[in-house]
Amino acid sequence: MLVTLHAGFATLIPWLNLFILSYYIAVNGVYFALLFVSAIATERHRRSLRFGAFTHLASLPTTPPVTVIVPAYNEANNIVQTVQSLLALNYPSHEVIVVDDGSEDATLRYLIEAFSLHEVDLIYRPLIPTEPVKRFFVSPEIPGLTVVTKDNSGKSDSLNVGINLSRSPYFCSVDADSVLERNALLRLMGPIISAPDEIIATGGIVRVANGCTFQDGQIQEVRLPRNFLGRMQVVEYLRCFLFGRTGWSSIGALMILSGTFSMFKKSVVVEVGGYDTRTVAEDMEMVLRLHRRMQGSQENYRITFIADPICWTQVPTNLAALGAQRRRWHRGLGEAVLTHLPMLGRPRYGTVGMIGVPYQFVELFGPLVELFGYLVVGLSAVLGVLSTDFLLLYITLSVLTGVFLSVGAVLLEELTERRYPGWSHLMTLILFAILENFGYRQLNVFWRVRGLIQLATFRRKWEVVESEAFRPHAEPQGGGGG
Amino acid sequence: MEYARILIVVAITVLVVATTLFLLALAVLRLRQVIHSRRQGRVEVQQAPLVARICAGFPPTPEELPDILPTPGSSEAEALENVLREALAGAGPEQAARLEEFMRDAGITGRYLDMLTGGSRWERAMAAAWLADHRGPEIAEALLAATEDPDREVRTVAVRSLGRLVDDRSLVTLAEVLVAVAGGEENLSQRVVAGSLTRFGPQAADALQPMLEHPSWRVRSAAAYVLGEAGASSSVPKLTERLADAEPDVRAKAVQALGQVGARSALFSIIGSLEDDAWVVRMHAVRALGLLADPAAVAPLGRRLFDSHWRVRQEAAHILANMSAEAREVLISTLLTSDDHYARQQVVEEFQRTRVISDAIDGLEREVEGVVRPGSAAALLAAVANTGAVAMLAHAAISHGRSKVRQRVLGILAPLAHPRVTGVLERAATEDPDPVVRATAAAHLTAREAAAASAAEEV
Repeated sequence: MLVTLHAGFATLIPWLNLFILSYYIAVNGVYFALLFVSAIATERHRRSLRFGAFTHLASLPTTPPVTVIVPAYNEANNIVQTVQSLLALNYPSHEVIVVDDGSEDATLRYLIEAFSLHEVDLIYRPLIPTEPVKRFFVSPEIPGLTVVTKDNSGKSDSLNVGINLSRSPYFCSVDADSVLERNALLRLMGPIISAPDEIIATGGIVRVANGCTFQDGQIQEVRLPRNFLGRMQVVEYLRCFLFGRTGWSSIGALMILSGTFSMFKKSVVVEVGGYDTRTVAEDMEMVLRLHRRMQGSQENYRITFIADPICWTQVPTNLAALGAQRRRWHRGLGEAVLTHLPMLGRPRYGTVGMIGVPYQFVELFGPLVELFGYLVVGLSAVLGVLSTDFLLLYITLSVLTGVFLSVGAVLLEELTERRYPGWSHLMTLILFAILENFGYRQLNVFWRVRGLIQLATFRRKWEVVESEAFRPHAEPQGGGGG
Repeated sequence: MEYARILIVVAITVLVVATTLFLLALAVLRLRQVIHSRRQGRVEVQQAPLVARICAGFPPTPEELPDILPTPGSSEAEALENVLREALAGAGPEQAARLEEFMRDAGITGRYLDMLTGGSRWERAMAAAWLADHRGPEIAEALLAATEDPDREVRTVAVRSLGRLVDDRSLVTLAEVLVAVAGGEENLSQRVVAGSLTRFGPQAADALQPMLEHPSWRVRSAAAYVLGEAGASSSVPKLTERLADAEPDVRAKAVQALGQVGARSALFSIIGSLEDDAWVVRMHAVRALGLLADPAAVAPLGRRLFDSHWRVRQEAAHILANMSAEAREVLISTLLTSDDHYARQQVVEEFQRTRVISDAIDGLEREVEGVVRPGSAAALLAAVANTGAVAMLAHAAISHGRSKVRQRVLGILAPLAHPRVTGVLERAATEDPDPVVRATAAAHLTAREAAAASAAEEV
């Protein structure tokens, strides 16, 4: 019996190898193409920054007002810093709406104390249907700030509440554990002002705040996280945003704008019914729905990503929290692409239907193939049928390509913002671009497969990712800790 | 099998070489940056006296120039240009004129003009941006020519720079560009063109007024918008005519513009727009009247509190709350006497956002002390509570510093069937530091319970 199994497996091996290698070649082909396209787009953007100064937008009467919506659930650690940073944004006319999604910690109390809020009864007009709202808080001293509370019903519902209360033609969603740089909103609005009839949504880059120091809601010093996982995520975020999103945006097939920091034209979002409350990837689902609606009616539109408006966010620094986040992201990816399955391979939906959505399927099932690859290699070694050629090619395609792409992302960072100025930063980034392919990447595969299993078994439990508090800025000569 | 191995070796080699090249590029870029920053810093320090000298009105003589200026095209020359551009952008008019003259004498301005006409698309765009801080007929002419550049980016930057330049010669061209954009013949951003035109202020009127008669409503609308933002008061008659335009968007922009230019002569025409069929026109009419802040507009604005569209009601309440004491009286009267729930609710929302309700609670305190006519603040607060807005009163009932005020607020809240009131009374009955307030709250609770029991009996 064992001998038969062994013989059967040995016969199957070349075909399995071929399947796995084909997958890697296809996926890496896409990555190489993205890196190439991103490099061109990044260089173009870098040049355009030399003459496309955004600062004039602050004094231009034609710059439209924006509502910044902050959904918050148990964010007592960071909420005050976040709201301070939002109120201090350099933007001619913006309001901030914090939606407390039934927090069980001191989120609301801290807000009330920090901004001298008092409770009021405002009129709530649900343009988009939501769960009932409970309480409103405003401050006569800060007319641009409104806090609304409701029972816990999820991020999507909270965003919809914010949209209903918004008085501006554009809204920007910002996570409660994130801090925007002073000009971030102005920079994000730049492309919209250049093509207001065309651009319906735009997103900026999200960077890792762990390790950096903050004062009054403003970043004071950019540093790398001390934590190993945090450093891994710095490289990961650079890769994801600088060549992933830039590349997809360049070919008009951007499938996701991070809910952490993205801007939308309110009328279009209201028209499509607001955020979907049934998914955990409300940001991706919204972008896909917008594509489907606009492409479906053959309208001229664009959804873009730009790399210089910066949002600093806290990332998980322990395996449990990170694993939960990644599982949720992957399940969300599955929910979003399955919801919009009819776009798959339909020329009517342009590059989105022909390239974007099919690629998301590869991304969705990629972890399974990668895990399968590890299993095949392991099993082949155990049974003594491991092909050295296959192993070498497998390592080349997975590990070496991974290193190449991550170093490419660091290179793009060097070409654009260069926010990590020290040589030691650069060396650390390169080191972690290599290290992340050994262990961290495999862990990600494991978490994502678990996300797929959750998707298949419809386990839709909401998981809260714990985040660190923003580190206060310590004066160089100060006696306090740092 | 041999082929497979060759393939593997090639793949590995390519990846290793490419990664190494990336690493090298990283190192080179970083080194370049370090060198560039140092050079820039050095030039800034070295040339600071030169910039100060120019700004003070003692520029170098033509004879001195060759010794001062670095070799054209060198990195030092580039660094000096950066220093001068930054100084020019931040200088006052007099110093800017001196710096500009120096840049002209040093051949820098000429080089930018050459770049604008003969450079690559990036160079043309950069030159268009950099020339915005320079003055003179040849600059305006070059930028005007650049509005016809084949590259969209260059055209956009040129339009933006013309807005910064504010040279009369460019008005007509910019107006033409706006017509082309609004008419869909040019794919520039209407916001960018409109933004540049608004910088001309009232002098934009002559160039834009004919556009108000354009056959395309988009052009008429764009013109009305810019005239308003530019504060072109001479356009009042033409804008007033547009209040009868067939297109609601044009009427809305025209009425908004009339408010922005402070057209008191058109006050009654604007008031007429409050009765427009389109809610968006009525809303802009409300805003315009808010800008004019004329007492004659108070009563018509008060009627908009009963508008069929909530945006108009919201805007009317907001304007009246911030307009004048007389306007606020209209809101109070509506709150006390109207039977339109939506209007009263809107008034209360506005009062909560401003200080009216907190002032009324303070007024209650003075009533208690006998300073203010008894009943006025209490009546207002009772009317507020009757709309269902009890949050501020509930807060005052629990945490106001004066026990007599807490007692009065409890009295206002007690008759209400609002679900929150029972909780407030219970809390006051048990937690209030003043025994009199506790007793009052307990008495209200007993009365409520008795009323509830009798109501249940009746059922």
